[in-house]
Amino acid sequence: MPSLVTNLAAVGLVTVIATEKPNAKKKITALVIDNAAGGGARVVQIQDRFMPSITNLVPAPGVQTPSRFSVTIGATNVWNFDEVELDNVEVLGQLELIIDIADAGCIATIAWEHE
Amino acid sequence: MIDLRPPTEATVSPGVPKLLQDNYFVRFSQAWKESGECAYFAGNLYQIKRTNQVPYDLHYIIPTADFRDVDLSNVAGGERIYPENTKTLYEVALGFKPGDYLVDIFLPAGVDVSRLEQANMIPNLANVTLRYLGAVKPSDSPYDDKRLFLYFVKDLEPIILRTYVDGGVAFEKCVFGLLVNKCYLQQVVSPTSEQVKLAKEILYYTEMRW
Repeated sequence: MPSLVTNLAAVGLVTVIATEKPNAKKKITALVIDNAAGGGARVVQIQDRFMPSITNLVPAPGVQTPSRFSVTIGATNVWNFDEVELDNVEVLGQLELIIDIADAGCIATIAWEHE
Repeated sequence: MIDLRPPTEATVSPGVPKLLQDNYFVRFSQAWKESGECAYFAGNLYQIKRTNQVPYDLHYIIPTADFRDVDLSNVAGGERIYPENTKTLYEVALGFKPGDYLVDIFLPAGVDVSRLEQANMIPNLANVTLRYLGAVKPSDSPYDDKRLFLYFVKDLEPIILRTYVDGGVAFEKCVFGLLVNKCYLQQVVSPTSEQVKLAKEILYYTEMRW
């Protein structure tokens, strides 16, 4: 089960966690947001990014970026979401984290498995 | 030529292999005469001299209430899962990863394999009831316990897997797991009655509709 620790200071606010595995979905199994050293309350989202296939109704599809999970973490807080709370949070394509304001003091730990 | 095998009701020992094996016999029914380019198989019995198993995955992300026609044949735009050699039979075990989708099988293109005898009982994705008629769900043939078996020879008409994402999700990733069992065939010109009895009969699709 892969996992990654990263700060959420990315320019453009999007941190790529893992690229798409074409023949599998990603099931998020754990998410910890450590905002103890953050500059204020932050909104953190799990975002999916994928290109749909050509289908009967959509002959020229575009990239999709649905948000799969969103939470507001207060300043100095540490929040921990386990597999039960993240049940059914699935990512079809590339796994990304988004923060509303880039913040090197806001640290995310995320774990996932392929299914 | 298309088998959706139900879950087993009992286990026997020793285990029975799911796939065709070396030295097994296969027999093509007389109805293959109707198949045009594949008619040379009709009524013939073959022994499998060698097999080789090739796993392969196909994957599509499809929006809700939409479908994609997955053509498994070697035509342009197809997935190229058909043999090119007249002495080769592909036995394809097909399983699906879980998801909110249905698969309707068409053979040849435009003609449903699954239908009932009453005139209106034809699979229809636009109808909230008939879309489930004959449709294969991922749980019917799981990725790790494949139960849908397809048999392909060179120049067989295209088989289409119409993959429809049902309501309730915005998009679904549909993953097909294929295990292509390549079988090299050697014709038995004068088969014994015992060989005929042992052979797995491969029917032509017209025999599945009456």
